[in-house]
Amino acid sequence: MPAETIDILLAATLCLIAWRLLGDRDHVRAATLFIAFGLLLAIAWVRLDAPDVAVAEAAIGAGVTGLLFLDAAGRLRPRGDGRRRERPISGGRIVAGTAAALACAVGLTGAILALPGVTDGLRPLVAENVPRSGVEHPVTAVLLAFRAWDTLLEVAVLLVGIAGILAIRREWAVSMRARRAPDPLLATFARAAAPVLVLAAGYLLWLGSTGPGGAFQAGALLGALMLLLALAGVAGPARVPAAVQRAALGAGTGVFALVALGTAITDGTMLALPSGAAYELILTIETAVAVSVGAALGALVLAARPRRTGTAAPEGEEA
Amino acid sequence: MSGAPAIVVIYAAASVVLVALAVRALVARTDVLACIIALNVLGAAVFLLLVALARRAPDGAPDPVPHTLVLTGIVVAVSLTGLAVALLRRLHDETGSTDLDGEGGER
Amino acid sequence: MGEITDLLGAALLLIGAGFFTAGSLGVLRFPDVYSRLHALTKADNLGLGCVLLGLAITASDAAVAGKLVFVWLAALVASATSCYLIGGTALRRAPRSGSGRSDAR
Repeated sequence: MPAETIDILLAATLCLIAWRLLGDRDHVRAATLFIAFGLLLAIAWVRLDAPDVAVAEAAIGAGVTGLLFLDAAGRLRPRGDGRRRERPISGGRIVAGTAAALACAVGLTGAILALPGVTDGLRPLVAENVPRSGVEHPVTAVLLAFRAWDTLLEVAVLLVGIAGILAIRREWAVSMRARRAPDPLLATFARAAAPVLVLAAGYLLWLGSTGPGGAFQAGALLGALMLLLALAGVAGPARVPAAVQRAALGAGTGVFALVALGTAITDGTMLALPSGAAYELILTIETAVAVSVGAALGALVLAARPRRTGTAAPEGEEA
Repeated sequence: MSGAPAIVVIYAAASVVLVALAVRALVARTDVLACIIALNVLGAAVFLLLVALARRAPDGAPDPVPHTLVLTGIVVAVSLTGLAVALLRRLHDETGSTDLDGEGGER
Repeated sequence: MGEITDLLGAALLLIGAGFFTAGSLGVLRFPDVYSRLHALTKADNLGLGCVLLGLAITASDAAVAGKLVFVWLAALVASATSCYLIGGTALRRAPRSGSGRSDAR
Protein backbone atom coordinates (compact mmCIF):
# COMPACT_ATOMS: atom_id res chain seq x y z
CA MET A 1 0.00 0.00 0.00
CA PRO A 2 1.67 3.21 -1.09
CA ALA A 3 2.29 5.95 1.41
CA GLU A 4 -0.08 8.22 -0.47
CA THR A 5 -3.13 6.18 0.52
CA ILE A 6 -3.49 8.20 3.70
CA ASP A 7 -3.28 11.39 1.65
CA ILE A 8 -6.00 10.24 -0.71
CA LEU A 9 -8.21 9.34 2.25
CA LEU A 10 -7.47 12.64 3.97
CA ALA A 11 -8.14 14.71 0.85
CA ALA A 12 -11.38 12.84 0.18
CA THR A 13 -12.52 13.31 3.79
CA LEU A 14 -11.74 17.03 3.62
CA CYS A 15 -13.89 17.38 0.52
CA LEU A 16 -16.70 15.34 2.07
CA ILE A 17 -16.75 17.37 5.27
CA ALA A 18 -16.65 20.62 3.30
CA TRP A 19 -19.55 19.48 1.16
CA ARG A 20 -21.62 18.64 4.23
CA LEU A 21 -20.80 21.75 6.17
CA LEU A 22 -21.36 24.18 3.32
CA GLY A 23 -24.88 22.89 2.72
CA ASP A 24 -25.94 22.66 6.33
CA ARG A 25 -28.73 24.94 7.48
CA ASP A 26 -28.08 24.24 11.12
CA HIS A 27 -25.33 26.72 11.92
CA VAL A 28 -24.17 25.03 15.10
CA ARG A 29 -23.59 21.81 13.20
CA ALA A 30 -21.86 23.67 10.39
CA ALA A 31 -19.57 25.40 12.88
CA THR A 32 -18.68 22.10 14.56
CA LEU A 33 -17.97 20.51 11.18
CA PHE A 34 -15.80 23.51 10.35
CA ILE A 35 -13.68 22.87 13.44
CA ALA A 36 -13.28 19.25 12.37
CA PHE A 37 -12.41 20.43 8.86
CA GLY A 38 -9.75 22.75 10.27
CA LEU A 39 -8.18 20.02 12.38
CA LEU A 40 -8.03 17.61 9.45
CA LEU A 41 -6.52 20.40 7.39
CA ALA A 42 -3.84 20.75 10.07
CA ILE A 43 -3.00 17.06 9.57
CA ALA A 44 -2.79 17.73 5.82
CA TRP A 45 -0.25 20.47 6.57
CA VAL A 46 1.82 17.98 8.53
CA ARG A 47 1.68 15.56 5.60
CA LEU A 48 2.90 18.39 3.36
CA ASP A 49 5.85 19.12 5.67
CA ALA A 50 4.47 22.44 6.94
CA PRO A 51 4.51 22.12 10.75
CA ASP A 52 4.44 25.88 11.40
CA VAL A 53 1.30 26.21 9.32
CA ALA A 54 -0.18 23.15 11.01
CA VAL A 55 0.11 24.60 14.50
CA ALA A 56 -1.26 27.96 13.38
CA GLU A 57 -4.15 26.31 11.54
CA ALA A 58 -5.11 24.09 14.46
CA ALA A 59 -5.10 26.95 16.95
CA ILE A 60 -6.26 29.91 14.86
CA GLY A 61 -7.87 28.48 11.75
CA ALA A 62 -9.85 25.76 13.47
CA GLY A 63 -9.89 26.95 17.07
CA VAL A 64 -10.52 30.69 17.08
CA THR A 65 -12.47 30.79 13.81
CA GLY A 66 -14.57 27.83 14.89
CA LEU A 67 -15.20 29.54 18.21
CA LEU A 68 -16.33 32.70 16.41
CA PHE A 69 -18.78 30.66 14.33
CA LEU A 70 -20.11 28.64 17.27
CA ASP A 71 -20.59 31.81 19.25
CA ALA A 72 -22.44 33.49 16.40
CA ALA A 73 -24.50 30.38 15.67
CA GLY A 74 -25.54 30.13 19.26
CA ARG A 75 -26.54 33.76 19.58
CA LEU A 76 -28.24 34.50 16.29
CA ARG A 77 -31.41 32.79 17.31
CA PRO A 78 -34.70 33.84 15.75
CA ARG A 79 -36.58 36.63 17.41
CA GLY A 80 -40.29 36.58 17.82
CA ASP A 81 -42.13 34.30 15.50
CA GLY A 82 -39.18 32.19 14.45
CA ARG A 83 -38.99 33.46 10.91
CA ARG A 84 -35.35 32.62 11.07
CA ARG A 85 -35.39 29.90 8.50
CA GLU A 86 -33.18 30.81 5.62
CA ARG A 87 -35.17 31.40 2.49
CA PRO A 88 -35.45 28.26 0.40
CA ILE A 89 -32.60 28.43 -2.03
CA SER A 90 -33.97 29.32 -5.42
CA GLY A 91 -33.14 27.17 -8.39
CA GLY A 92 -31.64 30.18 -10.09
CA ARG A 93 -29.07 30.65 -7.37
CA ILE A 94 -28.13 26.99 -7.45
CA VAL A 95 -27.62 27.06 -11.20
CA ALA A 96 -25.59 30.25 -10.94
CA GLY A 97 -23.56 28.77 -8.11
CA THR A 98 -22.85 25.55 -9.94
CA ALA A 99 -21.88 27.43 -13.08
CA ALA A 100 -19.51 29.68 -11.14
CA ALA A 101 -18.06 26.68 -9.34
CA LEU A 102 -17.43 24.82 -12.58
CA ALA A 103 -15.86 27.87 -14.16
CA CYS A 104 -13.52 28.30 -11.19
CA ALA A 105 -12.65 24.61 -11.18
CA VAL A 106 -11.85 24.52 -14.88
CA GLY A 107 -9.86 27.73 -14.75
CA LEU A 108 -7.92 26.66 -11.69
CA THR A 109 -7.15 23.23 -13.10
CA GLY A 110 -5.88 24.81 -16.28
CA ALA A 111 -3.66 27.15 -14.33
CA ILE A 112 -2.28 24.34 -12.18
CA LEU A 113 -1.60 22.07 -15.14
CA ALA A 114 0.38 24.84 -16.80
CA LEU A 115 2.82 24.90 -13.88
CA PRO A 116 6.03 22.88 -13.90
CA GLY A 117 5.66 19.62 -12.04
CA VAL A 118 9.05 19.73 -10.44
CA THR A 119 10.67 22.90 -9.25
CA ASP A 120 12.78 24.08 -6.35
CA GLY A 121 10.92 27.34 -6.09
CA LEU A 122 12.56 29.94 -3.88
CA ARG A 123 14.04 27.37 -1.54
CA PRO A 124 17.65 27.66 -2.77
CA LEU A 125 17.52 31.44 -2.55
CA VAL A 126 16.17 31.26 0.99
CA ALA A 127 18.66 28.58 2.02
CA GLU A 128 21.66 30.57 0.95
CA ASN A 129 20.47 33.70 2.77
CA VAL A 130 19.28 32.14 6.04
CA PRO A 131 22.71 32.42 7.70
CA ARG A 132 22.55 36.19 7.24
CA SER A 133 19.11 36.52 8.76
CA GLY A 134 19.98 35.97 12.41
CA VAL A 135 17.84 32.86 12.82
CA GLU A 136 18.24 29.27 11.66
CA HIS A 137 14.70 28.26 10.79
CA PRO A 138 13.84 29.11 7.16
CA VAL A 139 10.18 29.96 7.77
CA THR A 140 11.04 32.34 10.61
CA ALA A 141 13.76 33.87 8.48
CA VAL A 142 11.33 34.50 5.64
CA LEU A 143 8.66 35.75 8.02
CA LEU A 144 10.75 38.21 10.01
CA ALA A 145 13.83 38.95 7.98
CA PHE A 146 13.18 38.62 4.26
CA ARG A 147 9.46 39.41 4.14
CA ALA A 148 9.23 41.39 7.34
CA TRP A 149 7.22 44.11 5.63
CA ASP A 150 4.37 41.67 4.94
CA THR A 151 4.39 40.52 8.54
CA LEU A 152 4.28 44.09 9.81
CA LEU A 153 1.25 44.81 7.67
CA GLU A 154 -0.35 41.55 8.77
CA VAL A 155 -0.08 42.51 12.41
CA ALA A 156 -1.49 45.92 11.52
CA VAL A 157 -4.43 44.24 9.75
CA LEU A 158 -5.23 42.35 12.94
CA LEU A 159 -5.24 45.63 14.84
CA VAL A 160 -7.46 47.30 12.24
CA GLY A 161 -9.86 44.36 12.47
CA ILE A 162 -10.16 44.82 16.22
CA ALA A 163 -10.66 48.55 15.79
CA GLY A 164 -13.42 47.81 13.29
CA ILE A 165 -15.17 45.42 15.66
CA LEU A 166 -15.02 47.90 18.50
CA ALA A 167 -16.44 50.58 16.23
CA ILE A 168 -19.34 48.41 15.11
CA ARG A 169 -20.38 47.23 18.53
CA ARG A 170 -23.40 48.84 20.00
CA GLU A 171 -22.01 49.13 23.46
CA TRP A 172 -18.56 50.51 23.89
CA ALA A 173 -17.62 48.76 27.07
CA VAL A 174 -16.69 45.15 26.93
CA SER A 175 -17.71 43.21 29.97
CA MET A 176 -18.60 39.65 30.68
CA ARG A 177 -21.01 39.70 33.53
CA ALA A 178 -22.01 36.09 34.03
CA ARG A 179 -25.61 35.16 34.55
CA ARG A 180 -24.59 32.72 37.20
CA ALA A 181 -21.41 32.30 39.18
CA PRO A 182 -18.56 30.95 37.10
CA ASP A 183 -18.16 27.22 37.39
CA PRO A 184 -15.53 26.48 40.05
CA LEU A 185 -14.02 23.59 38.14
CA LEU A 186 -13.54 25.66 35.02
CA ALA A 187 -12.11 28.49 37.08
CA THR A 188 -9.64 26.13 38.74
CA PHE A 189 -8.72 24.63 35.39
CA ALA A 190 -8.16 28.10 33.94
CA ARG A 191 -6.01 29.15 36.87
CA ALA A 192 -3.97 25.96 36.71
CA ALA A 193 -3.59 26.12 32.95
CA ALA A 194 -2.45 29.75 32.92
CA PRO A 195 1.18 29.30 33.96
CA VAL A 196 1.48 26.20 31.80
CA LEU A 197 0.18 28.02 28.75
CA VAL A 198 2.42 31.02 29.34
CA LEU A 199 5.40 28.70 29.64
CA ALA A 200 4.41 26.78 26.51
CA ALA A 201 3.93 30.04 24.60
CA GLY A 202 7.34 31.28 25.67
CA TYR A 203 8.88 27.97 24.68
CA LEU A 204 7.24 28.04 21.24
CA LEU A 205 8.38 31.61 20.77
CA TRP A 206 11.98 30.82 21.63
CA LEU A 207 11.90 27.63 19.57
CA GLY A 208 10.91 29.55 16.47
CA SER A 209 14.45 30.59 15.70
CA THR A 210 15.67 27.01 15.30
CA GLY A 211 12.59 25.01 14.45
CA PRO A 212 8.87 25.23 13.80
CA GLY A 213 7.38 27.78 16.11
CA GLY A 214 7.54 31.51 16.49
CA ALA A 215 5.44 34.52 17.25
CA PHE A 216 2.08 33.51 15.77
CA GLN A 217 2.02 30.07 17.27
CA ALA A 218 2.93 31.50 20.67
CA GLY A 219 0.35 34.22 20.18
CA ALA A 220 -2.29 31.59 19.43
CA LEU A 221 -1.58 29.90 22.76
CA LEU A 222 -1.77 33.22 24.58
CA GLY A 223 -5.05 33.96 22.85
CA ALA A 224 -6.43 30.60 23.95
CA LEU A 225 -5.32 31.42 27.48
CA MET A 226 -7.08 34.79 27.40
CA LEU A 227 -10.29 33.22 26.15
CA LEU A 228 -10.08 30.49 28.76
CA LEU A 229 -9.64 33.01 31.56
CA ALA A 230 -12.45 35.20 30.27
CA LEU A 231 -14.90 32.35 29.68
CA ALA A 232 -14.13 30.94 33.13
CA GLY A 233 -14.92 34.29 34.67
CA VAL A 234 -11.50 34.46 36.26
CA ALA A 235 -10.12 37.51 34.51
CA GLY A 236 -12.14 39.20 31.84
CA PRO A 237 -11.79 42.44 29.94
CA ALA A 238 -13.77 44.17 32.69
CA ARG A 239 -10.98 43.64 35.16
CA VAL A 240 -8.09 44.69 32.99
CA PRO A 241 -7.57 48.45 32.79
CA ALA A 242 -8.27 49.85 29.35
CA ALA A 243 -4.77 51.26 29.05
CA VAL A 244 -3.29 47.81 29.50
CA GLN A 245 -5.69 46.37 26.94
CA ARG A 246 -4.75 49.01 24.39
CA ALA A 247 -1.06 48.57 25.12
CA ALA A 248 -1.29 44.82 24.62
CA LEU A 249 -3.23 45.18 21.38
CA GLY A 250 -0.92 47.81 19.96
CA ALA A 251 2.41 46.44 21.17
CA GLY A 252 3.07 44.20 18.18
CA THR A 253 2.39 46.80 15.54
CA GLY A 254 4.10 49.46 17.61
CA VAL A 255 7.35 47.64 18.23
CA PHE A 256 7.47 46.38 14.67
CA ALA A 257 6.89 49.87 13.29
CA LEU A 258 9.51 51.31 15.62
CA VAL A 259 12.08 48.84 14.34
CA ALA A 260 11.07 49.66 10.79
CA LEU A 261 11.48 53.37 11.39
CA GLY A 262 14.76 52.81 13.18
CA THR A 263 16.24 50.79 10.36
CA ALA A 264 14.89 53.26 7.84
CA ILE A 265 16.75 56.06 9.60
CA THR A 266 20.02 54.23 10.19
CA ASP A 267 20.16 52.11 7.10
CA GLY A 268 18.02 53.85 4.55
CA THR A 269 15.89 50.74 3.94
CA MET A 270 12.99 49.83 6.19
CA LEU A 271 13.43 46.59 8.11
CA ALA A 272 16.94 45.95 6.84
CA LEU A 273 18.06 44.38 10.09
CA PRO A 274 21.73 44.92 10.92
CA SER A 275 23.45 41.54 10.88
CA GLY A 276 25.00 41.97 14.30
CA ALA A 277 21.76 42.55 16.15
CA ALA A 278 19.37 40.70 13.85
CA TYR A 279 18.56 37.84 16.22
CA GLU A 280 17.90 40.13 19.18
CA LEU A 281 15.74 42.44 17.12
CA ILE A 282 13.77 39.53 15.70
CA LEU A 283 13.21 38.10 19.16
CA THR A 284 12.02 41.47 20.47
CA ILE A 285 9.63 41.90 17.57
CA GLU A 286 8.39 38.35 17.96
CA THR A 287 7.69 38.78 21.66
CA ALA A 288 5.70 41.95 21.08
CA VAL A 289 3.85 40.33 18.18
CA ALA A 290 3.02 37.26 20.25
CA VAL A 291 1.53 39.38 23.02
CA SER A 292 -0.46 41.41 20.51
CA VAL A 293 -1.70 38.38 18.60
CA GLY A 294 -2.82 36.81 21.86
CA ALA A 295 -4.63 39.95 22.95
CA ALA A 296 -6.13 40.41 19.50
CA LEU A 297 -7.42 36.84 19.22
CA GLY A 298 -9.03 37.20 22.62
CA ALA A 299 -10.51 40.54 21.67
CA LEU A 300 -11.84 39.20 18.36
CA VAL A 301 -14.08 36.79 20.20
CA LEU A 302 -14.84 38.75 23.34
CA ALA A 303 -15.38 42.19 21.85
CA ALA A 304 -18.16 40.95 19.64
CA ARG A 305 -20.16 39.74 22.61
CA PRO A 306 -22.98 42.03 23.69
CA ARG A 307 -22.80 43.40 27.16
CA ARG A 308 -26.04 42.47 28.79
CA THR A 309 -26.38 38.86 27.78
CA GLY A 310 -24.77 36.38 30.11
CA THR A 311 -22.13 33.93 29.12
CA ALA A 312 -22.97 30.98 26.98
CA ALA A 313 -22.03 27.57 28.37
CA PRO A 314 -18.29 27.92 28.64
CA GLU A 315 -16.31 25.53 26.49
CA GLY A 316 -13.00 24.07 27.46
CA GLU A 317 -10.73 25.55 24.86
CA GLU A 318 -7.94 23.23 23.81
CA ALA A 319 -4.94 23.73 26.05
CA MET B 1 2.33 19.34 -14.32
CA SER B 2 4.14 16.22 -15.33
CA GLY B 3 6.40 14.45 -12.93
CA ALA B 4 4.96 16.13 -9.86
CA PRO B 5 5.08 14.10 -6.67
CA ALA B 6 1.83 12.22 -6.01
CA ILE B 7 1.18 14.07 -2.77
CA VAL B 8 1.19 17.41 -4.62
CA VAL B 9 -1.32 16.17 -7.19
CA ILE B 10 -3.64 14.75 -4.54
CA TYR B 11 -3.86 17.90 -2.46
CA ALA B 12 -3.95 20.20 -5.48
CA ALA B 13 -6.92 18.24 -6.81
CA ALA B 14 -8.59 18.44 -3.40
CA SER B 15 -8.09 22.20 -3.33
CA VAL B 16 -9.79 22.56 -6.73
CA VAL B 17 -12.78 20.57 -5.44
CA LEU B 18 -12.88 22.67 -2.28
CA VAL B 19 -12.76 25.91 -4.28
CA ALA B 20 -15.67 24.71 -6.42
CA LEU B 21 -17.73 23.69 -3.37
CA ALA B 22 -17.04 26.95 -1.59
CA VAL B 23 -17.82 29.14 -4.60
CA ARG B 24 -21.08 27.29 -5.15
CA ALA B 25 -22.09 27.81 -1.53
CA LEU B 26 -21.03 31.45 -1.63
CA VAL B 27 -23.25 32.16 -4.63
CA ALA B 28 -26.20 29.97 -3.71
CA ARG B 29 -26.68 30.52 0.03
CA THR B 30 -28.51 33.58 1.24
CA ASP B 31 -27.66 33.40 4.91
CA VAL B 32 -24.78 35.66 5.90
CA LEU B 33 -23.15 33.27 8.35
CA ALA B 34 -23.21 30.53 5.74
CA CYS B 35 -21.46 32.89 3.33
CA ILE B 36 -18.80 33.76 5.91
CA ILE B 37 -18.17 30.07 6.50
CA ALA B 38 -17.96 29.48 2.74
CA LEU B 39 -15.45 32.32 2.47
CA ASN B 40 -13.28 30.64 5.08
CA VAL B 41 -13.44 27.30 3.30
CA LEU B 42 -12.45 29.09 0.08
CA GLY B 43 -9.46 30.59 1.90
CA ALA B 44 -8.49 27.20 3.28
CA ALA B 45 -8.67 25.71 -0.22
CA VAL B 46 -6.31 28.37 -1.58
CA PHE B 47 -3.90 27.77 1.31
CA LEU B 48 -3.99 24.05 0.58
CA LEU B 49 -3.07 24.72 -3.03
CA LEU B 50 -0.19 27.02 -2.05
CA VAL B 51 1.32 24.59 0.42
CA ALA B 52 0.85 21.65 -1.95
CA LEU B 53 2.63 23.53 -4.72
CA ALA B 54 5.45 24.30 -2.29
CA ARG B 55 6.40 20.68 -2.19
CA ARG B 56 7.42 20.14 -5.80
CA ALA B 57 11.15 19.99 -5.20
CA PRO B 58 12.77 16.76 -6.41
CA ASP B 59 14.27 15.98 -3.01
CA GLY B 60 11.02 16.53 -1.13
CA ALA B 61 12.13 19.53 0.92
CA PRO B 62 9.44 22.21 0.99
CA ASP B 63 9.75 25.79 -0.18
CA PRO B 64 9.34 27.99 2.92
CA VAL B 65 8.01 31.10 1.17
CA PRO B 66 4.48 29.75 0.46
CA HIS B 67 4.38 28.50 4.05
CA THR B 68 4.97 32.04 5.21
CA LEU B 69 2.28 33.35 2.87
CA VAL B 70 -0.21 30.84 4.25
CA LEU B 71 0.73 31.64 7.84
CA THR B 72 0.06 35.30 7.15
CA GLY B 73 -3.11 34.34 5.33
CA ILE B 74 -4.48 32.40 8.29
CA VAL B 75 -4.06 35.38 10.59
CA VAL B 76 -5.61 37.78 8.08
CA ALA B 77 -8.49 35.35 7.52
CA VAL B 78 -9.30 35.25 11.20
CA SER B 79 -9.29 39.06 11.40
CA LEU B 80 -11.61 39.16 8.41
CA THR B 81 -13.91 36.56 9.95
CA GLY B 82 -14.01 38.39 13.27
CA LEU B 83 -14.98 41.64 11.59
CA ALA B 84 -17.54 39.90 9.37
CA VAL B 85 -19.17 38.18 12.33
CA ALA B 86 -19.30 41.50 14.21
CA LEU B 87 -21.00 43.10 11.21
CA LEU B 88 -23.46 40.20 11.10
CA ARG B 89 -24.26 40.64 14.77
CA ARG B 90 -24.88 44.33 14.26
CA LEU B 91 -27.13 43.54 11.30
CA HIS B 92 -29.06 41.10 13.45
CA ASP B 93 -29.26 43.62 16.27
CA GLU B 94 -30.64 46.31 14.00
CA THR B 95 -32.98 44.35 11.74
CA GLY B 96 -33.51 40.93 13.30
CA SER B 97 -32.53 39.31 10.03
CA THR B 98 -29.45 37.36 9.08
CA ASP B 99 -30.20 37.31 5.41
CA LEU B 100 -28.02 38.79 2.68
CA ASP B 101 -30.87 40.86 1.31
CA GLY B 102 -32.25 41.72 4.68
CA GLU B 103 -35.37 39.62 4.35
CA GLY B 104 -37.03 37.85 7.22
CA GLY B 105 -36.28 40.65 9.66
CA GLU B 106 -38.69 42.40 11.93
CA ARG B 107 -38.13 45.93 10.70
CA MET C 1 16.45 -4.28 20.39
CA GLY C 2 15.56 -1.53 17.98
CA GLU C 3 13.28 -3.85 16.08
CA ILE C 4 11.42 -4.92 19.20
CA THR C 5 10.69 -1.34 20.21
CA ASP C 6 9.58 -0.56 16.66
CA LEU C 7 7.25 -3.56 16.69
CA LEU C 8 5.92 -2.68 20.12
CA GLY C 9 5.40 0.91 19.03
CA ALA C 10 3.50 -0.16 15.94
CA ALA C 11 1.36 -2.56 17.99
CA LEU C 12 0.52 0.19 20.46
CA LEU C 13 -0.43 2.53 17.62
CA LEU C 14 -2.81 -0.10 16.24
CA ILE C 15 -4.34 -0.74 19.66
CA GLY C 16 -4.78 3.00 20.14
CA ALA C 17 -6.47 3.27 16.77
CA GLY C 18 -8.80 0.48 17.83
CA PHE C 19 -9.79 2.36 20.98
CA PHE C 20 -10.41 5.51 18.97
CA THR C 21 -12.64 3.60 16.58
CA ALA C 22 -14.57 2.15 19.49
CA GLY C 23 -14.99 5.60 21.00
CA SER C 24 -16.21 7.11 17.73
CA LEU C 25 -18.64 4.22 17.25
CA GLY C 26 -19.95 4.87 20.72
CA VAL C 27 -20.50 8.55 20.00
CA LEU C 28 -22.47 7.65 16.90
CA ARG C 29 -24.54 4.85 18.39
CA PHE C 30 -25.23 5.67 22.01
CA PRO C 31 -28.65 7.13 22.77
CA ASP C 32 -27.96 10.12 24.98
CA VAL C 33 -25.38 12.70 25.97
CA TYR C 34 -24.10 10.97 29.07
CA SER C 35 -23.28 7.62 27.52
CA ARG C 36 -21.73 9.39 24.56
CA LEU C 37 -19.51 11.31 26.96
CA HIS C 38 -18.47 7.99 28.49
CA ALA C 39 -17.43 6.67 25.10
CA LEU C 40 -15.75 9.89 24.10
CA THR C 41 -13.66 10.56 27.15
CA LYS C 42 -12.79 7.07 28.32
CA ALA C 43 -12.13 5.30 25.05
CA ASP C 44 -10.55 8.24 23.25
CA ASN C 45 -8.19 9.12 26.06
CA LEU C 46 -7.08 5.54 26.41
CA GLY C 47 -6.55 5.43 22.67
CA LEU C 48 -4.55 8.65 22.85
CA GLY C 49 -2.45 7.19 25.65
CA CYS C 50 -1.66 4.08 23.62
CA VAL C 51 -0.79 6.10 20.53
CA LEU C 52 1.46 8.47 22.46
CA LEU C 53 3.09 5.60 24.34
CA GLY C 54 3.80 3.88 21.04
CA LEU C 55 5.35 7.08 19.73
CA ALA C 56 7.28 7.71 22.93
CA ILE C 57 9.07 4.38 22.99
CA THR C 58 10.22 4.89 19.43
CA ALA C 59 11.11 8.52 20.05
CA SER C 60 14.58 9.75 19.24
CA ASP C 61 15.39 11.01 22.72
CA ALA C 62 13.99 11.40 26.22
CA ALA C 63 13.01 15.05 25.72
CA VAL C 64 10.62 14.15 22.89
CA ALA C 65 9.18 11.27 24.92
CA GLY C 66 8.69 13.62 27.87
CA LYS C 67 6.84 16.10 25.70
CA LEU C 68 4.55 13.35 24.44
CA VAL C 69 3.70 12.32 28.00
CA PHE C 70 3.00 15.97 28.80
CA VAL C 71 0.68 16.18 25.78
CA TRP C 72 -1.24 13.17 27.09
CA LEU C 73 -1.62 14.69 30.55
CA ALA C 74 -2.76 18.01 29.12
CA ALA C 75 -5.29 16.23 26.88
CA LEU C 76 -6.59 14.25 29.87
CA VAL C 77 -7.14 17.36 31.96
CA ALA C 78 -8.75 19.32 29.13
CA SER C 79 -10.95 16.39 28.18
CA ALA C 80 -12.09 15.83 31.76
CA THR C 81 -12.98 19.49 32.16
CA SER C 82 -14.84 19.58 28.84
CA CYS C 83 -16.73 16.41 29.74
CA TYR C 84 -17.76 17.88 33.08
CA LEU C 85 -18.97 21.10 31.46
CA ILE C 86 -20.92 19.32 28.74
CA GLY C 87 -22.48 16.98 31.26
CA GLY C 88 -23.38 19.86 33.53
CA THR C 89 -25.01 21.79 30.72
CA ALA C 90 -26.95 18.73 29.58
CA LEU C 91 -28.10 18.11 33.14
CA ARG C 92 -29.26 21.68 33.52
CA ARG C 93 -31.21 21.63 30.29
CA ALA C 94 -32.92 18.25 30.65
CA PRO C 95 -32.69 16.76 34.15
CA ARG C 96 -34.03 13.39 33.07
CA SER C 97 -32.16 11.68 30.29
CA GLY C 98 -34.07 9.48 27.85
CA SER C 99 -32.78 6.23 29.21
CA GLY C 100 -33.46 7.20 32.80
CA ARG C 101 -29.80 6.96 33.74
CA SER C 102 -29.50 10.46 35.13
CA ASP C 103 -26.71 9.77 37.60
CA ALA C 104 -24.38 12.29 36.10
CA ARG C 105 -21.99 13.11 38.88
